Amino acid sequence: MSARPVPPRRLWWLLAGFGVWCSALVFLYAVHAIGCAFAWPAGALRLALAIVLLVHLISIGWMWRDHWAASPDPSLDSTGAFLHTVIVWTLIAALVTIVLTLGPTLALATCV
Amino acid sequence: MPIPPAPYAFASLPQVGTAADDSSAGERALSLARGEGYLGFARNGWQETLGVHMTSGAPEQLIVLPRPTYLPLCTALATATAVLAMLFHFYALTLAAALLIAGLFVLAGQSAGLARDYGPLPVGHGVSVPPHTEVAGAPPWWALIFTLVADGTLFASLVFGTFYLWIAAPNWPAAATPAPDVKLALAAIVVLVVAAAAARGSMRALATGGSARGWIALAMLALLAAIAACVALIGGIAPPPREHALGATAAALLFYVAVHAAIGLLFLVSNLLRLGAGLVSPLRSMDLRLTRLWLDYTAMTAVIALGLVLALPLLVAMLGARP
Repeated sequence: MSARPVPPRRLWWLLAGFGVWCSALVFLYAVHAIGCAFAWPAGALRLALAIVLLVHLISIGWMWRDHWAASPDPSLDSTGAFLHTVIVWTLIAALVTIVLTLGPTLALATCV
Repeated sequence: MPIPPAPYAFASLPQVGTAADDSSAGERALSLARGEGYLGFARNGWQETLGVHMTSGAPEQLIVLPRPTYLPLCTALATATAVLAMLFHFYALTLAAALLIAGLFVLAGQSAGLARDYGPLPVGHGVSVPPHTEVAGAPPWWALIFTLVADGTLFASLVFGTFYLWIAAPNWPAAATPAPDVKLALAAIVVLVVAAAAARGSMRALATGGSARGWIALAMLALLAAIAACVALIGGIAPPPREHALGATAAALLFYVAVHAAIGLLFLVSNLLRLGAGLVSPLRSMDLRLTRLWLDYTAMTAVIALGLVLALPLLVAMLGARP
């Protein structure tokens, strides 16, 4: 039996990790701006930012865990295994990027 | 390679099934020049190329390319005229150029595609694939997807601008409180959803051998009603768009919806003309699928845009409660 080609819709997974990073950036920016405009207490604003960050980290960690645990579909051709590896590493890269680029915002002064 | 290139550009297309590191470029060039690759022959006076599967690279569709025409150049000149006229405040000329662009786009659509169903056609090496007019993932489909991604970015920027002004602009809230007509805004959303549903109805009618014209006419009426509702809403904006950014923001959101509804009308006009010319069939239903995609996008963005316009009074009231 010949191997099936990888369904094109699986390519969307390449965008998943950094799509979550984009979402984290937008929501952190929005919560930060709204919190400062409405003069939220510093503790409450920091907590809100931490929750937004955590939700994004959990969602990306969930996706990574699912892909890491599953082996590549054996019925797909060799591109399937390659794509699986690239997706896993894209998710890891996005997770690290979120921690490195957005994590420090929690430690900075909230409103200037 | 002759200069200028021959109309067929390449004599044939290579078949590469394994790593090509060891193959001789000279031999391959000679083989392709002899027409031993894919599409190494002419038929129907068409300019052809292959569309391949995204991940395997296997031939999937035969793309029949459009013939050289001055239409893209004319459309580009009309677009440049519209933009420059707007920059120099010649608004009547801008409107005229915009109408010309619309007409040129509809005209360009009349020469695209094939006038009958062909089914799988041989492309060489014992492979037969259908022409692009008869497959789901044809170039026009992906072109519209990427256009909508770019358009969605523009819309997201518009929504961002609204919230940014709300949070950061000086002299907010405005002296006049916005009071959009809720019934009119909801009516605009309903008619846009009706238009999107009618587009689906037209596809179903075409697939079952019925007439799609009734559904297309219904979608056109719904879009005309949506445009009228948006224009009425823009007319009633407070504070006036020329006086405060709050009104200008609401006007920009409503204008976005109206423009998309108007472009949807162009899609539908093109559908009617192409149905009449026999360029659309149950197998060649790309036109109706493109229209459905556009109207779905228009309805979705309209829900967000009109919802934001309706939420403006609440947002302004929240600003008043700031410490």
